Amino acid sequence: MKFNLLRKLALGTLALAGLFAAALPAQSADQKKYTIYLSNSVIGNDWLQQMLRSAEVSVKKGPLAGRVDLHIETVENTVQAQINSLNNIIAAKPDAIIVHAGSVSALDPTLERACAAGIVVVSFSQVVTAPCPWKVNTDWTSTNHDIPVWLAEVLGGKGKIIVDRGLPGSPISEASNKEIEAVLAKYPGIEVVGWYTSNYELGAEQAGVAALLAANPQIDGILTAGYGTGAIQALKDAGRPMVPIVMFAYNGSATACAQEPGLKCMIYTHPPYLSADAIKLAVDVLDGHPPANNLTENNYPRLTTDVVKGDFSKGAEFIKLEIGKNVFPDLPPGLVLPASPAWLDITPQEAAGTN
Amino acid sequence: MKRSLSSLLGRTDGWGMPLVVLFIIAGLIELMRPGSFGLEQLALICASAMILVFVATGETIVVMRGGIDLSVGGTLSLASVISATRADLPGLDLLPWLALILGVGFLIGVANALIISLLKLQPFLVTLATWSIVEGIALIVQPSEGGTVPPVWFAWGYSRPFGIPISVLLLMLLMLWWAWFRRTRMANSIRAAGSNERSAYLNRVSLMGTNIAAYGISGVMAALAGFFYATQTGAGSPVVGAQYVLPAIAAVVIGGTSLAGGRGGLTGTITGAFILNLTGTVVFLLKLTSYWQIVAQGAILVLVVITGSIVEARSERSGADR
Repeated sequence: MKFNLLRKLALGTLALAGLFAAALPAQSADQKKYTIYLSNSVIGNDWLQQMLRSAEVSVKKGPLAGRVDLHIETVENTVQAQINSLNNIIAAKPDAIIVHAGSVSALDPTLERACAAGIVVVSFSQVVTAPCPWKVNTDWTSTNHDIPVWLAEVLGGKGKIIVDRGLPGSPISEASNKEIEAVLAKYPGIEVVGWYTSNYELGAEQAGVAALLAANPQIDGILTAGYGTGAIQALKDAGRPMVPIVMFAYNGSATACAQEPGLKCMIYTHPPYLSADAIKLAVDVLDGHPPANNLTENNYPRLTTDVVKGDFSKGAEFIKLEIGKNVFPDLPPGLVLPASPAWLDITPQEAAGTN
Repeated sequence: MKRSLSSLLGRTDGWGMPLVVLFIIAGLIELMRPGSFGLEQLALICASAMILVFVATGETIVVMRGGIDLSVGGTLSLASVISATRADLPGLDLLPWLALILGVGFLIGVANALIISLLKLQPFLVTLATWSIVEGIALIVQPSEGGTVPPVWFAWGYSRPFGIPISVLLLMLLMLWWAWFRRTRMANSIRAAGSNERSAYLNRVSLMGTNIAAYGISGVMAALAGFFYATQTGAGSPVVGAQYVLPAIAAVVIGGTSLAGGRGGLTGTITGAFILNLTGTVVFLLKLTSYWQIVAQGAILVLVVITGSIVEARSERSGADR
């Protein structure tokens, strides 16, 4: 009798355990813990710090919780230092390396060596040209196409604009400049009356716009490659009315955009959580579920005050700016939106480092 | 013993102390990760250090002449983008092309020297200006990172003549060149002019001639660095040079060459470049956050300069005692 009771209890416990096991996500053989290094070229701006925070959060919660032993190695923005650092990382034989490269080509031979050593390599944001690494990035072709289209459409196909060249020597800026010129050629009513160089810095943007405002009595739109708030300030300082502005998805820019009366704007993004996407991709590859393509490009939704119709890229999506929902006046202006990919829940506070 | 060590270090043109530091760093690395200096690892270390070594070589000669050359940043960038423009050329046609790249570097150096000598301007200002001009030209040649290096050059950058990795071989060649050059009349004139222009002039040393030689060598070395960068990465970058200007000056100073001119040499500079290069590895192996590398490099700079000056003062005193 006693034995029976014990047996029943044991069986019941087993059944219960089985039930729990079925309810939990599959903790099978492929739930190995991996050592992953993040090789980062430089730190110093808001985007990069949020990128590192996103990577850290991504291995603490959500599907990757407890699955990754993450080491972050940041160098001081020289190619040589990053190659040295990668050589050390390769010698440590990790499962994967995710790379935020300071150069699109200079790390190629080193990364190829990492691949040859059996390490999974994922390049994100400024992706490298070496064929072997997996790559995750913003769909810049679509973004660069949609930026001038939005401005031209919101101006009704007619007006004088000024354009930011971004950072000289940077492949992203160079590609963007070319595409902007190509698209604007299709709008004969839009005239570019000036270019300035912001280096993606707030001060240089404001100075560049101010100089062009002084030189041109009529400016109807501004294509910034950066904060946009510098352009807004320059307009105010010059006593000029607000004109439509394209800007990057900083929380401060989006807030200014949502709060400034009469300002029309469009905000495009290149999310820092690409680092989290890269870690997930590395784990997927290590688990034996690689993506179909070597290159993953995402056409991220853009925020705007004015949704307009036009010849936008395939899959382009525009979302109305809404304070508290996709813009956060209480959080730091340097926070880049959106804070989290759909597969993870990085809160805006976690992304901003204020939690 | 203490005294004889300091006088021994004091006799080394300033490279004794940095060499001790380099051995300590290398020893630490070998202790924490045995086998760090096998041929394969050595090839990697040399390949990544050589660009800095080339730039710092030219800088050493200019600093010995009592000047400073910031334009090496622009020259390196320009040479790297020119190297990446002619992927279509077959093997032998590339030799004149390489000569042209080095020639451009030489001309930039000569231009610096002429402006400095004829107009009697500060080398810092002149080379800051030419850096900007040359980097602008590099951006015009190739507006962003990219291009393709001729396959022959890329293969050369990873070749192993006589089984020796090319970077190690280049380092050996550079040291042989220095062993010859340091004893030449030109090297002596450069040191003399760097130490005291007036007395050098009175001794019939050509101030302009030594400037042309020093800045010319610096230009060629920076162009060589740009060429080597291109062979290592397979592409050119119009802005990469800026990353090497200050580290090159730091390598020169760590190596014991006096910024006041007149004294120093390449042995110390190469040592300095490797110290800067290996600091990152120590920080990595100590599992410290990588920002410590920047702190460590600054600390080593200060340490080497202070101990160097103490050793020098002592050896001078012991020399005076005798």
